[in-house]
Amino acid sequence: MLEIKGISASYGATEVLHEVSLKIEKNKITTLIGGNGAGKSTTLNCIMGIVKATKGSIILDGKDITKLRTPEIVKLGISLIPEGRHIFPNMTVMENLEMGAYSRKDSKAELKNDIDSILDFFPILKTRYKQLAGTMSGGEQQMLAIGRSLMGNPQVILMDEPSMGLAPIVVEEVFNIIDKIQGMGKTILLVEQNATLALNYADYGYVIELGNIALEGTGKELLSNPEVEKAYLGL
Amino acid sequence: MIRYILNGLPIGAIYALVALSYSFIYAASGVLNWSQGDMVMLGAYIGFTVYQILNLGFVPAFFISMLAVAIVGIGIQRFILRPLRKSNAPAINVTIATLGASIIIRNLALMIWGPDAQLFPFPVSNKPISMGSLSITPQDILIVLIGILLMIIFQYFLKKSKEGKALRAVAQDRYAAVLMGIDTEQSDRSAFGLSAAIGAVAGILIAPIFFVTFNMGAGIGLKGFVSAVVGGLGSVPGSIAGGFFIGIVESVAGGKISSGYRDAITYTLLILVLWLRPTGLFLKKRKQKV
Ligand SMILES: Nc1ncnc2c1ncn2[C@@H]1O[C@H](COP(=O)(O)OP(=O)(O)OP(=O)(O)O)[C@@H](O)[C@H]1O
Ligand SMILES: [Mg+2]
Repeated sequence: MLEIKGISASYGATEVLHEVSLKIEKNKITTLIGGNGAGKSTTLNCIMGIVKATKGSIILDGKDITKLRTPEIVKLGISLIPEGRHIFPNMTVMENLEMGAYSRKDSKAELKNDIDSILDFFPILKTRYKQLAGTMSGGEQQMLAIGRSLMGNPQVILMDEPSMGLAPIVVEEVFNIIDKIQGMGKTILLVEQNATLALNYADYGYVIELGNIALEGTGKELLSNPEVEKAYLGL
Repeated sequence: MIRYILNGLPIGAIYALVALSYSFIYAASGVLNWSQGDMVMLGAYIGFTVYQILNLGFVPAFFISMLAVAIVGIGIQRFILRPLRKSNAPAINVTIATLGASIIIRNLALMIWGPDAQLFPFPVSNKPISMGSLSITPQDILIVLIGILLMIIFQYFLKKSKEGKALRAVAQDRYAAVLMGIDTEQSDRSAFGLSAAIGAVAGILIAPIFFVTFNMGAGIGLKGFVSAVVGGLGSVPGSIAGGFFIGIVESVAGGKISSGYRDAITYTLLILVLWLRPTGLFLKKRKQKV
């Protein structure tokens, strides 16, 4: 289990996270929803050690990882699929997948095996494994970003707005994949602006507003909560 | 004409290596390192101290020089880049600090090797081999071959090795590279060390055809930088092409027009490229990095 205990974070002199606490249960989908600039991405970057928490702690399976450097956090099995995908544009699909396995010490044969199973999992990537990633469509790039993360064999996957900028049919595909990934036994923290969809898939959810956790509950509870409905679900 | 093109190849290969070192360090660490030219100077002095004063042989001179200069490059990363990054200094401050390092290195070189200019010939003949109206010396052939060999090895390292791929990843998207678990402290170190070592080879190659002095880094550094910009700063293949291009243009300009106008022509070309094709002559529209 990944536990965030009262973390705060700042950019320069401006504090943007104020003692945020989250519990991300093993093998569950937990979602963090909130509007623009609420602090969702900052929370994820704090977990990865990219933004340093000024207060509070981050605990993975009982181990305090708050002060660890990002490469060590990645080695412990936490992976972030960042907002905007950030695939390596001038690398092929294959090379992107290889980079996903950068911190693994496994043999070449084992990695090759894993690449093959990722390519089977994402048929769209299979036919394009030699293509430069930067020339692919947004949906394909999102699949690649997910595949690249899986190549690291993480136990916890943080996803930052995986539906951003995608056509509805592709969004559905992405969420089906998230569902399957949970089925593989992974733990998922899903950040979304598309609250309805996220809460429908999530076991548990948190609402973040201006750097504070405003509400929490099971996906069902939040979906039927009038405040959530008014702020995030209504049109 | 062909004669001048042929004559431009050795200096072109050297410019290409220096351009490559600027571009690579720029792509992989985001820093324009003004001390690259001084790595060339150090490479020349160290190489030929090993070869001619210590008499340890020509081939060992290459490796010892590359290693020693790489250590200097890593020192710059460790004592200049790292502290400045820690304090979130803007890129321009880092660049200015490397300019400072460059002056210090020049002064140290002056103290160690003195003010006199030196020429260091290769252990091969300098007698031209003629083919019809064309002629080239074995020394020039060796310079071009060693230069090209290093470029091929380096390109192979970038494309095939795990560390090389990691450096390309950092160059393409530093944030994503960090998310893969790549240690950017380590990649900065590699970028500075490898670029310095490439500069060192350029120094040994230039030593037989160009006077080695403590302040030669200014001239060769600038030419290498111009080559990189003309070919596409940040692109390894672009910079290599840029180096050969400038070397050949200089040779042709020197032969057909007048060697007095050579530099004026090179810099006019630079301004034209910056004006008309700021991403470099040899890059496709989409910005292509290492
Ligand atoms: N690199 C940065 N430097 C300074 N301020 C930043 C930086 N990144 C984010 N912020 C600020 O921190 C606050 C939280 O931003 P964050 O990106 O975490 O929000 P978010 O919930 O992910 O928003 P979005 O849904 O738009 O992605 C915002 O006010 C934002 O302007
Ligand atoms: Mg965000």
